[in-house]
Amino acid sequence: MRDKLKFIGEIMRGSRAHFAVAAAAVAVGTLFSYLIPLIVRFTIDTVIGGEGATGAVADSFSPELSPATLAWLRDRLWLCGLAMVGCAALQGGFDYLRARSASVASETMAFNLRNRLFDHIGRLGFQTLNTLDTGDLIQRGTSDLQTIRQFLESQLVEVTRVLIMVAAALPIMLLLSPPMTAVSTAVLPVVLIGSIYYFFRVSHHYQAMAESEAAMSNVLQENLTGIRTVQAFCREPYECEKFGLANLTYRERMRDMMRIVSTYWGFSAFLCMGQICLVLVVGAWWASRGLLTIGTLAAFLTYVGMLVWPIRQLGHALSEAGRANVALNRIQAVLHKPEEQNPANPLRPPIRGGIEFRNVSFAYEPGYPALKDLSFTVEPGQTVAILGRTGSGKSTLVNLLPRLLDYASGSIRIDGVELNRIEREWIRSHIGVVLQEPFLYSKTIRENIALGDPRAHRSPGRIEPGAEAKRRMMEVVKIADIHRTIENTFHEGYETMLGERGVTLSGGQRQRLAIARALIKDPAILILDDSLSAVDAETDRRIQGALRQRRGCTTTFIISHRLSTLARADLVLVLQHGHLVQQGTHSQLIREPGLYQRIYQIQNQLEADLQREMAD
Amino acid sequence: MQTRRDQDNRTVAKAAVLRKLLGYARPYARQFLALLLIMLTYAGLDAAMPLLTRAAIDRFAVGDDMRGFGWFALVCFLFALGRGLTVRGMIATSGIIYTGLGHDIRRDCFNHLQKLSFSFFDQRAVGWLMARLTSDTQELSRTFAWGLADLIDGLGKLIMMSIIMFVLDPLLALIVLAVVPPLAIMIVIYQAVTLRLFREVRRANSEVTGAFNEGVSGARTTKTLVREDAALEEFSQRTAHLRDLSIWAARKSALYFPAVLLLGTIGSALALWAGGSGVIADRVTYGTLVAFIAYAVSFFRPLEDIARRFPQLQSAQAGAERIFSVLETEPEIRDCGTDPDAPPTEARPLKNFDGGVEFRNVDFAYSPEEPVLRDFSLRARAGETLALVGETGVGKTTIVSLLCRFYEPDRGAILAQGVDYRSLPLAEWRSQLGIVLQDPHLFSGSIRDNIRYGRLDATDREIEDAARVANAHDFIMECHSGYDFQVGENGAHLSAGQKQLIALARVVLADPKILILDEATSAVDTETEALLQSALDRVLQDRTSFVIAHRLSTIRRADRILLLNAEGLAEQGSHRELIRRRGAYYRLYSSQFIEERETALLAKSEQ
Repeated sequence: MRDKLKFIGEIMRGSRAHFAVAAAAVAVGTLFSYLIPLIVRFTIDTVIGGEGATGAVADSFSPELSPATLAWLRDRLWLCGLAMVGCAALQGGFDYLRARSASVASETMAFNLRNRLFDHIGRLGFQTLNTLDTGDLIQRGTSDLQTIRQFLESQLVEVTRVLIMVAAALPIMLLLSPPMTAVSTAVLPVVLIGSIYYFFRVSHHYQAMAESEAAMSNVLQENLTGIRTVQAFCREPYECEKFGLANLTYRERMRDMMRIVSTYWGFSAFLCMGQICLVLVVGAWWASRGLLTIGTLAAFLTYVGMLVWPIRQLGHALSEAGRANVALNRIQAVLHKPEEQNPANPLRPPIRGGIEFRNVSFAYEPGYPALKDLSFTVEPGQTVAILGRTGSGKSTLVNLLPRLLDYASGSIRIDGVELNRIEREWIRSHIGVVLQEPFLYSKTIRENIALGDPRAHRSPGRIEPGAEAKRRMMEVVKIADIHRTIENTFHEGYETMLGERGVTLSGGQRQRLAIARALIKDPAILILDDSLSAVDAETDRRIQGALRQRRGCTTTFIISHRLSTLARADLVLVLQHGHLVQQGTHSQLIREPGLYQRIYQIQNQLEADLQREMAD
Repeated sequence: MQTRRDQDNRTVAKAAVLRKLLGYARPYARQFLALLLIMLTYAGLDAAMPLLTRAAIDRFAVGDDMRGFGWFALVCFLFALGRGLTVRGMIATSGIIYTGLGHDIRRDCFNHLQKLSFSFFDQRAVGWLMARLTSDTQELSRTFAWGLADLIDGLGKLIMMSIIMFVLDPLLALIVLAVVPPLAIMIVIYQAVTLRLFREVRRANSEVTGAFNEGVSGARTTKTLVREDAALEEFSQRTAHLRDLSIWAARKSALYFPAVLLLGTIGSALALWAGGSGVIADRVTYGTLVAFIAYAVSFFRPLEDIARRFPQLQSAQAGAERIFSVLETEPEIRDCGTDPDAPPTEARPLKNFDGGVEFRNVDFAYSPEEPVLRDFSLRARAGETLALVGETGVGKTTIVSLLCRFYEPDRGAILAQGVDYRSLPLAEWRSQLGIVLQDPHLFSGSIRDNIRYGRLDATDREIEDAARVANAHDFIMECHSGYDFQVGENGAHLSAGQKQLIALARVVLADPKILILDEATSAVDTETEALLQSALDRVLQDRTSFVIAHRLSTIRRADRILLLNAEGLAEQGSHRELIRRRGAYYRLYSSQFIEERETALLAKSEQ
């Protein structure tokens, strides 16, 4: 609880003053709103009626005015009207201030929390990120956050307002007439308790309704995505029946809900109206017996009207508080996940691309090692090909290099420096990583490539196509063999927007774009994690050829099955169950009995196989 | 996505929308009538409330005449009771209309969608259709039911209040009503402005949601590009924009309440001034004065209610047009079995169909610019297994889709026993076919339910037999609840291979004459693969089969292989014939051979 209050205090930093102003404005505005009925009462009783004219009891709330002043006022009744309008103007002014401050406060809070959450998620460890569900995270960052914002903007101020109203109205009412106050508030507690009870109970029914709605849209969604299957099996009547049932259930749940809603609102309308009528009947009776002035009666009628309806809504505000609390917990849970840490005094050595693994092991979960006791050495500029089945540890191995994962035992040295002593950002900015399913941003093609260019994105936002930057881009798009595709396929060329509001690229186009993005970094180490899988063999050959031209300046790791790729590597690593079972060059490995040799021999098997088949 | 024939976003004329809508409202005529009466009563009670106050003051408080006070108290009680009952009645009645309308429209839309052909679904995303049947329908029925209640209430109140005021005191009425025109203008302007403002806020908000989404899904890439700071800065630019826009919109709309309050109070002040003077001059009673003050402040509510409903009506109308455009879409495939509008050819049911089919000079295109098949002819003998091979996009799927009559040929014909299949009832033709798709669609429910989809009246025993034939029985028994195992949404709890086995069992149960199989490209684990193969051996027997084949074993076993390329049918013949030819098929076979062996080797290396 203390932790939560501290957290709320933290996210409200910068907006606390606005909340205070909003609360103060509510208080002052409410006072002015109470003045108006008093002015009406004074005008009717004292100015028009003249003191005692209606047989009113003397009370302590009428200003003492001399008969002369009253007569003067009676000739200028518009002054009373003006006073009303003045009060209304002030009340309105403070209400404006309230709405404005509440909005500034809650929006500022939402802004801070949103950015903090975004930043935190961006700095979570790679492994933590892999365990989190994207959809769920997005929900926490959007609808949960919205729930909190709405609560702060409307409900919090609303509760304050009701409390202040009650707190301010009661003394005034008591001063005017204590017995009448008792009459005016007789039913209010019932309204309040009923409202709280209702809003907390109704949430269950809402749940049932929401569930039946979800069930219905599930049937709908399944039908639409599987419409081919439905039509192929001629199951249209069956589907109509299935949907009809879900549709009907949803309607009935809604009607159940409507029954409860209508009963509650009907009953509470009766209670609220009954409270007002009670004031009217008792007031009229007492007024006729001279126990109450007409003005006081009119004032009480107004006060009751002001109190009774907001109190009916109080239960709603409280149930919203419950929802906001749940949302806050969900956001806090994300913020409690640890961010990536750098070692104390991290190093920033020059990176040339020499790599040495010595007895390296890694486990995602203790006891289940994904890599076991790996040792190999790579000279700067060499190409390393990794061969192995899905799950053999290939991706784990390459993810160790940019420190996306941290090795548990053994040692990795980059140009002689222990890797986990090097700053994460530093090593990453020297490594180009291309994943099998690369992620592209909702930006233009040019921006997507230039994102990788450390010299171009010093200032975020739009990237100016300077001549030098342009030259670098041309260089990499040609290596990635995507230049012609961009120019020929898209009308807007490099300015084509990608993503949700733009075009969707094919798998091969995305891979090639990601290669260009990685190359423009001019990285000392390049990692291609099965990143040519969606590219056809011819293009693959061209890209590999162009990459080889660059060889000598970039140490390259390629995960691939294609024999042509493996054959040209300086070093081939064969992984099996996280063990490095074979390493060497192509010409060494084809002579060594083992997996590599068997794969190499498939070529020859083909002909033999066909011969045998034809002979049968 | 493939696009076919331009019939997009055909909107329905406004008058037609209204007519349709009235058609849907018809079954609820009684509720509408009840709602009208209830709302008028409600409005009347509200409008008459100040009269009660007036009576209380004039008769009892000032008049001191206590005769009839009991009646007065009773009337007050009845007022409260009436208020409660009308509120209850209003919500209950509107609720019935609201839920009923939504239900009816959804039902008709769904039933209609079932009749539409694939070309319709090709053009429309599932999300788009979902939105029509959920949010659009909901909004339409909501606006229709509640909006109507609000409009009756608002208009009723305005009129009744004005009448009461004029009856009480025409001069005072005129004075108080003077504030109504500016009030009305202000409310209308406010509604228009806020509508626009909040639309902009919503847009900014969805941009932030999109950016957040991108941040989360791209977090790993952002890390490797070391641009966490730049990403945060970009994101915070957007959130700052949203914040500023929201505050700006909130500030503008915060002006509204003070302005309305001020105008209302001016009305009251005028009533106090003019009425007060009247009281002094003995022309006006105290009660009338208090009543007028009350009326002056309560005028803005009904005005606001009415003004708020208009933009909602507009957006509901747009929704209605979209919904009805779906409902009015004519099915492209006319079924002569059930469709009364279909051309009057005589439906000739197939007798003793043996499974032989013929494509005769078929032309087909999804869109006029991109023909897929040109003058395509093919004759499949009863019981023959045909393998369709070739790169993606050459028309393999099109051929089987045409065969299933998901689409119909643009030119030429598809014949079954010499009869054009368009003259057969659709349901009868499709019941001759069984289809196993590459990524078979399963429905959430048990395994048993999914297999039973092949034949709804099958017994549990028959379902198990079918599963045995499809080699699915063993793995099903290994699931902890056997045939009652819940497969999850679209079979999410099963592996790709297991889904195929279930889909195969489903087809076995249907026992079709023609089998269509789209083999999975994605690798299935070796064990399941073997199960699939031996099941296929049994299932393909004695049936005419069209297999879109990827695996060598399937291709080799086919009676005839059809190799398609962009120009059409490139090579056809048996495996041996085609290998001897050393052409396109040979090359395809070789590369597939290497890939399959390699995968197998790598897989074995892990065991």
